[in-house]
Amino acid sequence: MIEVLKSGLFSVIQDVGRFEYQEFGMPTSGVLDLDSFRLANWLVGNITGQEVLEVVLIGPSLKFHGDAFVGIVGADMSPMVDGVSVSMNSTLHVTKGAVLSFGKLVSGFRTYISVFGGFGIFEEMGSKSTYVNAKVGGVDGRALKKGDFFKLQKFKNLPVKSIPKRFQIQYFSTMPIRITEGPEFNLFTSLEISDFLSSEFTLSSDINRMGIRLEGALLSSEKEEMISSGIVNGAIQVPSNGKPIILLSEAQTTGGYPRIANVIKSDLPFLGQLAPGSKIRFRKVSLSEAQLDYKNKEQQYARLLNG
Amino acid sequence: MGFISREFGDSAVLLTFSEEINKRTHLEIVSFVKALKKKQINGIKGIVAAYTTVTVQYDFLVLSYSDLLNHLGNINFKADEEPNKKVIEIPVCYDAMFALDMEYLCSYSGLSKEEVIKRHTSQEYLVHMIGFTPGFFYLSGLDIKLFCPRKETPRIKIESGSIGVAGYQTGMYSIDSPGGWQLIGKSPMLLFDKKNKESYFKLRQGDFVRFIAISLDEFKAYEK
Repeated sequence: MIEVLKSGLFSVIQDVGRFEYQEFGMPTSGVLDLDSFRLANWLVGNITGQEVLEVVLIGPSLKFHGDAFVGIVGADMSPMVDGVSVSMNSTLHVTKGAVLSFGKLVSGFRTYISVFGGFGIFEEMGSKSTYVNAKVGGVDGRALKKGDFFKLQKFKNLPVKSIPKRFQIQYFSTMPIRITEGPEFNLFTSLEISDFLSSEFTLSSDINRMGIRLEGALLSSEKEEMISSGIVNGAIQVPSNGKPIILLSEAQTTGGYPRIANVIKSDLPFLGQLAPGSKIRFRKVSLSEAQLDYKNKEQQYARLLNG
Repeated sequence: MGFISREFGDSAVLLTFSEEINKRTHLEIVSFVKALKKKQINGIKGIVAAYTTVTVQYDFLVLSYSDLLNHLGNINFKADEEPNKKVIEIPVCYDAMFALDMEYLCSYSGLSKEEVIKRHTSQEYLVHMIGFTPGFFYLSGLDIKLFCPRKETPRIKIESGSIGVAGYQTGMYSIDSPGGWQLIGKSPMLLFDKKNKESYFKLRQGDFVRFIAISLDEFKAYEK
């Protein structure tokens, strides 16, 4: 059993998300950093889609009432067991009675914690992902709180694995985020587009699982009001104040602002690791480049995960 | 009849059926989505139909963009009325306890409370699209006398079930959420119910809605 001693800022159970109810206004939810998620599961021998704990900025304190194998991947929040630093990106044996806690955020923004066999959560509407706004999934549809318990799988010995260096992302600012043209790209003036592609943007403090607000060049020429239309994960919309918003997996399913660009699938996981104040730039690629890049990436992951 | 398609990121396509909201476009979209779902095309991951557009998400490792466009181009659809039109009756209590902005609407419209209720309940509204929050619907057909602006400062929390008007729209909050509509009542019915495994959502695009006035006592009885 795992006992939650401290909840952390906003710790939620997530898996890949629920896709079948978008037509009814239900966002998919699901982990923001899909790469850290699957690597965390790989470390403890789980199936790729097993639910994990997604924690942000301030990590939780978890007391293990039994031995368990744990994976910690993503943002470096200075993980500790009984107050002693432990390394991320390797299978970690937490012994009975020990407390896993976190300290200072060193890099990235979100950490993924896996345990062998998962957290004993049941699916709701086809997924275990927590969607707090509609109180669905996870632990009673909410973030963790002190006193929550998770049932552990029966302990068994696992091989200790380490994530190869090339899969360990170094989160640094000014990393270019690759985009393709959005459906309303041509509504923007050539000046606005060159501003968008050449400027550095700073992440505002207004970040949640719905989206990321950016500060920087203003793309504010008057746009005709758009008729509300479907939204996808990674779409970059520009509201009338001219400050772009990157939409994430918990964004509402429809919106009425012009969409200048879309973050490519390969780079979506990185969005989950951007903290307030991070700086980003955009680089435009073609649809075929974006899809080819992802195919190559998936081949590498397949070799590791199935190897 | 037809649509234009545009790339929407590397994993979706945006199909635009018209540049304006109208009944014909709506019927085309309903018919298109129905036919598309029936085909069960491997690689399609999500469909979001709106007023004038359909967004189709796909897994390009399974289905290429060009194959997707071919499939979509071969869908047969037509702007026919649904033969068995579905009208969902939504009970609404217009009691002052819930109708926080009724006074405002009355003074803005020059109508009495009774007249507002009569006009609000006398229409059959078309569900043009679903979006915003789980189960939330966008209706058309509001009596133009009930037009009023949104609140200047949106409320931070509006309870699910609350009924509002804003601009030429009327609707019902499906989950607790912030919002800027003028509130004129509340329904005890749930638009979204995660416990109802038969159907999590009360209605879908293309359905019709009629509001039925109920008393505070009836509201309380319904909630039990």
